[in-house]
Amino acid sequence: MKAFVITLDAIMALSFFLIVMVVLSSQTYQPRSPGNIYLKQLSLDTITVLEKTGRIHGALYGNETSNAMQDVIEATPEMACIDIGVYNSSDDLIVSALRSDCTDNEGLDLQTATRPMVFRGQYYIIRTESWFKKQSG
Amino acid sequence: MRGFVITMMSMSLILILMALSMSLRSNHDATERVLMEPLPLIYAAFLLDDTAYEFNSIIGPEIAFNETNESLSISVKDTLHAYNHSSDISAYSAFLGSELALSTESNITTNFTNMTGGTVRVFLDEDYEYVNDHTNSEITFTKDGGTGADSYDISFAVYSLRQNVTHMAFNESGTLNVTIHYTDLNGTDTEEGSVFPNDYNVFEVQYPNGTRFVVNAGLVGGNPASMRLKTYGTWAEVSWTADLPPLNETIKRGYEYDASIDYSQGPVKVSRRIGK
Repeated sequence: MKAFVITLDAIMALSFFLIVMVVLSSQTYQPRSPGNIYLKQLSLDTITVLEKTGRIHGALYGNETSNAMQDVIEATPEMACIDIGVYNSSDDLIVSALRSDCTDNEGLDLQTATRPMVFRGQYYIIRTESWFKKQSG
Repeated sequence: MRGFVITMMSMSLILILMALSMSLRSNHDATERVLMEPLPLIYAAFLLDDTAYEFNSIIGPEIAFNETNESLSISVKDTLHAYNHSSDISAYSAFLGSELALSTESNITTNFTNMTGGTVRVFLDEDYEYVNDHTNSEITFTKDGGTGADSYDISFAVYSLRQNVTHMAFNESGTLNVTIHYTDLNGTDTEEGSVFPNDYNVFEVQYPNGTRFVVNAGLVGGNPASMRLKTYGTWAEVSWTADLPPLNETIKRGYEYDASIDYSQGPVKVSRRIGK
């Protein structure tokens, strides 16, 4: 009889423990929003800098082509990758720039940002994709 | 009995741990909501601000505000010429409603009805009204009940030979200071003095073939301390600065065109005048 009670007690304790573990594991916090906010903000700020300093205008009509934009993108924080493209109103890609060492974004969360731009009477759409760089090793 | 007490204590401890964990999670969720919920609206505001910036680059004018605790000045640079921006505005409206809406997966509709007749109307710091009527080559700056301006500094340039100048009738007792810099093929001249803000005060430069440039400072459209610039048969580059009383802190700063934009993306719906 005593052995049965001890076994029953052990089973109840184990069951209770398992339930607690399941509940606790479901409560694990996955921080995701701050990173996305950071990328979005970085993309919008980068577009603003590129546009207001005339870098995009230079890339579209100047002699600097995409180098004009590349300098700014390379100066953004190393952990983030930005791929920026300027499209005309027919949705043709006119000029683009991608941060170096940022070709691989497979399986990563991408943040997008879009802004309109008017230059010399033509309408353009600036689109960016940004993501956190894959950690090497 | 001893075993029962130990079991109860263990269960109590574990339940407390669970409660703490759930509370922590709930707190994190609340923080995340606070961070995330306003973001779609903030991003919409970014887009609409950018739209205003681009719209301003299409139809002008260049506007600058300079505000301190004691004073406010508004500076505007524009052109007076018979040019109707209707086709530019219509093209930009179509661009916003199609390509941009498609790119941002949103619905964008604009109402430029009041801007397609050749008139660009801008509300400055909410209550001041700036109108460039391109059809009549006339610029007015006014406010219902009067602007309260202390001074106007007006510059204009006309590519023509000056024939005659009708000077403004200044009065030392006036409370509205007016400075006018006029540039043409004869060079640049300046005249300045004071006028009464409730009087109709005129300055005029005549050019060949009946063309002329007229400045009114004072009573314009029934509103004191206002300003009007008008050309007849010619075009001109103009810029002016008005020194105005300090603004009430509840007044919304910036400029807004007499045109509106409706933006919606999912649950986010923003409807406002185009401006910054």
